[in-house]
Amino acid sequence: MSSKKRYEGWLMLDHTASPGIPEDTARRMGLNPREVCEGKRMEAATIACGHCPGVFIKNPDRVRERGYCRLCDHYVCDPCHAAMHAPNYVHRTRWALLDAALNAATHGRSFDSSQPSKAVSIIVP
Amino acid sequence: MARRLFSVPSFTPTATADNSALANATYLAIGANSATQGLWVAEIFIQGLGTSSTNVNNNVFARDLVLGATPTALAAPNRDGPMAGSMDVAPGTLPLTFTAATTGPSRSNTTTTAQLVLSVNALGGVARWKPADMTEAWWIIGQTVSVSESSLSASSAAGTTSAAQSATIMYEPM
Repeated sequence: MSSKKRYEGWLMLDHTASPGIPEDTARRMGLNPREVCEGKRMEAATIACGHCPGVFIKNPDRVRERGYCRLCDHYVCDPCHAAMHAPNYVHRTRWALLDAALNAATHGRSFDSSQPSKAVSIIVP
Repeated sequence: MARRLFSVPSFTPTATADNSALANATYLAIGANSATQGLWVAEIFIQGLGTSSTNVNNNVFARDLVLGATPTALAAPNRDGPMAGSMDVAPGTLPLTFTAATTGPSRSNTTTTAQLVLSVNALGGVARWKPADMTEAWWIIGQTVSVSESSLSASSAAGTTSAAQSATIMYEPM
């Protein structure tokens, strides 16, 4: 069974040969002070959102549900997760976004990322 | 296309607030050179070059709310070239890579845009980020504010004072 871990990127903040980041500063940066202090190497997973071109750092201590899309079997960032619950939401993956951008480039058209990659069909009975 | 390296051997990322124009030589910016161009960031590598333990560089790689206006062409020792050297054929239109502009880019202050925190102590700190593969990478598509052009700069959010560092962005234009 494949794991979502195969999608994860890798972030390293290495202070093994450095005085590190002071505790108060690290907290203000949203980092764990024990991982970025003198002599420590922080390694964290990063996750690419399944619906937008962004990447975010995975918080292993997160208790609330992580945004997930069953349609594309991929984690999504919080803003995209919130957008998924909008009544007029049109599902589009980051790969569809990329395809649309490359398609536009191939045909010499400008690309508008705010537009859905294909027209929405409304069937009236 | 082939991968390219955009590298700046030494610069001081002066801490700057979101939605403020970044001063020349305090950032690395990378963006599409046309509305139809796309590229993906394959790796970011930062190494602190400071001499004082009190300098913390609060580096962030983030989208730009205001794109850099009239970017200045890179000058040595800053570079942007193909990893494959002369074997590689450059794309017809190269993406924009710059460290100075008539008006510098402004980092997005929109809470719904992603930003990677790559903070290090400038005295010997090292930061490195790699995505799993190109489908999971940081994509830059077109020239839409807060979506496209991205920059590596230091945030003033933690009240830190920066010192010199080197940075390399590995990317691939499409």
